[in-house]
Amino acid sequence: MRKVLLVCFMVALVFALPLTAQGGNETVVSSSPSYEGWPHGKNITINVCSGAGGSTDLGVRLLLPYLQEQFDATFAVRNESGGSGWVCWLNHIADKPDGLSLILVNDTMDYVRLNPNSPHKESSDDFQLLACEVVDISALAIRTNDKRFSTYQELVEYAKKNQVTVAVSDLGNEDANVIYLMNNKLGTKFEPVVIASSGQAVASVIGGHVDVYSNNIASCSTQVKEGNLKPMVVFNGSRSNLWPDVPTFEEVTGIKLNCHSARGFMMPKGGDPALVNHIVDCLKKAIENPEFKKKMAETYLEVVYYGPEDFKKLFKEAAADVVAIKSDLGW
Amino acid sequence: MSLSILSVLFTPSVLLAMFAGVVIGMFIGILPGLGATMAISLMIPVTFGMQPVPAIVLLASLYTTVTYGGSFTAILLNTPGSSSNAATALDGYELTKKGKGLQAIGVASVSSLFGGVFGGIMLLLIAPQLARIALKFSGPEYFLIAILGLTLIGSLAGDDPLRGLISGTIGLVIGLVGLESSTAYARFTFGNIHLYDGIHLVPTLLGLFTISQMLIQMERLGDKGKIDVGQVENKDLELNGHFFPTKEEMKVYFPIMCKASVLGLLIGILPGAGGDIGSWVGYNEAKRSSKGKDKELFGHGSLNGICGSESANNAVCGGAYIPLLTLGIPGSGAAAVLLGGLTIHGITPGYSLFSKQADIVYPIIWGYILSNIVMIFIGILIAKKVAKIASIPMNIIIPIVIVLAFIGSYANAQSMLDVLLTIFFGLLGYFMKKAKFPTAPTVLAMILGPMAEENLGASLQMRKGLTTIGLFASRPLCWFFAILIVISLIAPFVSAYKRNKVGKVSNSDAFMED
Repeated sequence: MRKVLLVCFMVALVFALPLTAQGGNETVVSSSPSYEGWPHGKNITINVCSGAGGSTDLGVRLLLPYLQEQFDATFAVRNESGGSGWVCWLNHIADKPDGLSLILVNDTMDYVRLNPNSPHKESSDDFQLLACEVVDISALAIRTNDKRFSTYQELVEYAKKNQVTVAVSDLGNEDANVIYLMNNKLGTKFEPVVIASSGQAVASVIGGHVDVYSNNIASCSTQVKEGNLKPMVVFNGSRSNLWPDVPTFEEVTGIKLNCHSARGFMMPKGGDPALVNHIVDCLKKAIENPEFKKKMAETYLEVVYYGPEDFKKLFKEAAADVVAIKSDLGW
Repeated sequence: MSLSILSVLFTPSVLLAMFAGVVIGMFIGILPGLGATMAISLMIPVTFGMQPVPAIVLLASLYTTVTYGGSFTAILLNTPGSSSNAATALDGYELTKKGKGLQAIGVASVSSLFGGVFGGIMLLLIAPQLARIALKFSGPEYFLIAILGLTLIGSLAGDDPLRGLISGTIGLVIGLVGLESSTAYARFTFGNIHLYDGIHLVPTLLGLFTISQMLIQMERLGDKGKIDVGQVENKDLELNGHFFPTKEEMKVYFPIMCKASVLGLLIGILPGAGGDIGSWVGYNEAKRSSKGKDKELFGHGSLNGICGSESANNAVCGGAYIPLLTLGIPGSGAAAVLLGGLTIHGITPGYSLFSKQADIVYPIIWGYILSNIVMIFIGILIAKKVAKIASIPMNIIIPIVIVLAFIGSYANAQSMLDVLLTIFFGLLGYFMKKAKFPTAPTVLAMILGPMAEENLGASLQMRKGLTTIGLFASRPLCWFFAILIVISLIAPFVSAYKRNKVGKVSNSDAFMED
């Protein structure tokens, strides 16, 4: 009898679980129904363009309770990875612009289509951008015991005379773009080595097989904190709050070069302007919540809020930078 | 184990989390196509409100139990619960048809326990030293490991190496689909963004193994409309047998478990190797270690094969934690998702974790070790009941398995294309089996082909003026793997030569006697 009861209990557990799986990694957070008006108790889905558990997904899930405070709604997070985000974006481009389908986006969208091999000609112009949540600044790091250079200036001087290999996760994103931009502006000989697995890339740098690691601050921070990697430079107008001791590219070279992964929210185009303004207002309050910012900083994600127009500018700037290095990318 | 670790480990929240992780992991593992990576992704949000130790113990228990749970369906239904159980399905299902499904599950259980505990003990004792191994490997070494893995295709081809090579070539071609890593050039995607990341392994596996097998079983239904026996070929054969291996059997299995667990641990430690190849390496090692009639059984129902593959794939779990906890470098895809879980709970991986956060990390490791024991208890509890699946009529089993396979392939990436691919590979696998082409080499080549290509590309990019040969020749580990590749390639010919020589000597002795 006990065995039967135990088996029944386990069967109940297992049937409860697929109900959450069938929605595609959906997580539901309930809110207290205190606000009259939109969305009238309906569910809002946030479609995340990457798999669950990564830093992009993490940034959304940590924000959920603060969105709950601002919206009078139940939220669900749905992960749709693939095609560097395009699977998610194209799956929802034709959704109703009623605010119930929000999409996570990053600023690679506007420059990937510059690749002549890319079948996508859509851009951020085909969506309504809402708010930027995170600006994850690009950075370069070396292994701590590398005796050849100890500052970014020394690294640049070395790279002008010698080939320096740089581990990047992919060609066509900010990790690799910054290499070509540096070579363009400084005459250096940085050579990207594409290693898709971030674990393998970090191990290659720490193990001395590749000279430099190019990635965002969030991806480097664990190794920096542990003392395996030493950050050399960040590509931003001002120093990062997460790494206040690391100089910017402009400080060291006198040349302006910003590179980052800006991530935020958008929705299908054509929504009622009043609704859009309301959503933007709620997102702003949630994203700028000091407690949320603190939690994100603990996971090495820097919260930077931009409204729709400024968020759009980031997309255009990223695309303009890539136009300058199209020939280096083979585009 | 110190009292402080015990006091943290044996608290209701940690024990409950461990039990929940094992139970949920068992059922996710049994459901085809879901896998450990998805299981951990699903459960991470659930752990948000939990304390760090029970949260990570839950996730760690999940990882090892999903890997074990997948062996049940691999053995009973030829449906690997995840890609790391594919090698188990090769011989497991053959054993089920002979009425030895329960015995196969027993061997899988004991082997999984051994592999999981072995990995955990190594993590506890010598994690920092082992983690340094991960730092010795980069593009050139991973490329040669992939090539070495591809030479295993010969051992999976059975009696017809040519058919095995053709199957492997099909797998290599499948692996070409998607964005090429060095240039981001789209190959064979036909403008479909869902193919940019390549053809996913899960739908391919479900098609080649599960759907194709169900189609073959449907053929057997034939004119009778239905048959009143399950998959057991002889309906008078009772599905009994012992669950636990006997002492005599353990004398054979123990050396295989040791070798396969060491190999699985090393595969788990290497971030670029990927956990999926662990079970194949373990299976191959079991075959290599077996002699005589035991060796001939491989592909036709070898318990040694199950022992090797299941020890290795659970040792991969422990191995993947080693670089994850000591260096913050995940050793497998599931470990990469687990890294997110660690970060959320304020656990910073690194060597200092073992000193500054010892009160967190050691209970987690011991929790992981204990979860392997708990999972076996659950396995024992359900094994006899689950094994009876083999005696359910096929006209009931077939539609259920097909539906489960489609659910598994859709759940993988929420893409209907994956479901269509499952159907395609199901048909392909059916015709391959009818034409006596093995499907295992296709799967192995599909995993290793992209790994070889990506790492060759990375190797060429990191040459820094050296020639390609010069780059490989300058690295001692490359020499080691190159020698292994040569040995692996010529070993079958040497064995065949020896067999022929022995055969000629025996014939001449018989002639002389006459």
